[in-house]
Amino acid sequence: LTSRLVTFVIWGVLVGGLALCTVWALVQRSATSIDTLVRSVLQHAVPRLALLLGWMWLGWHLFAR
Amino acid sequence: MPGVDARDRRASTSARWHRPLLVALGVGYACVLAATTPFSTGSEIATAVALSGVSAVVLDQHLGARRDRSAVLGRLPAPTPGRIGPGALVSLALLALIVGFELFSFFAGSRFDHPTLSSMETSADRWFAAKAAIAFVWLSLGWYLVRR
Repeated sequence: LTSRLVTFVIWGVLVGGLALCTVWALVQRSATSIDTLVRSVLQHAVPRLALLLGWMWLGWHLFAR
Repeated sequence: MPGVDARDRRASTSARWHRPLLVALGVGYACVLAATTPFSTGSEIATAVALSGVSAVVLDQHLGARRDRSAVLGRLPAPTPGRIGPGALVSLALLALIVGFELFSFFAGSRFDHPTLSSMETSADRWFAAKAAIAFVWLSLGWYLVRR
């Protein structure tokens, strides 16, 4: 087992798990999904601005630089 | 009332077309972003246009909220917070682990042995479809953050 393979497996488990949780919440139409949490955070100006700035940085990092 | 029914029908038709149109626009713009080369003027302009669009929506919402507040002469009631359950907590824990593992991989040394999400994305950039899909996810996330 190489470090590279182990790293890929861990990434697969983490990202796959998050995707599964999100899909499960969507299918269940549950009020307990992360969407509820994010929506309550977005009601406040400062965290909302922080998330938007993070989104902007991510886009610039991925596509421009 | 016939007038109200017609208005409702128009609103319903508009809502029906709203989402597919938004998705089509998102896919189109994701393809534009995917067609650019990083570190080029084209990629900077394409990314800046998306950032400016979202900033304009946020500014419009902010000014609109101020107008609404002055119109009703008082604060609007705060929205009722939803119930946070175990599903959200598991997702939050996974998000925290992803951020932690990204930092660990970033500082662990060799990028070959410890690829980060960013380095994997850079590798995926050589395939147009993969880059367009990543761009679409990023644009969707931006829409999610600014929608009301």
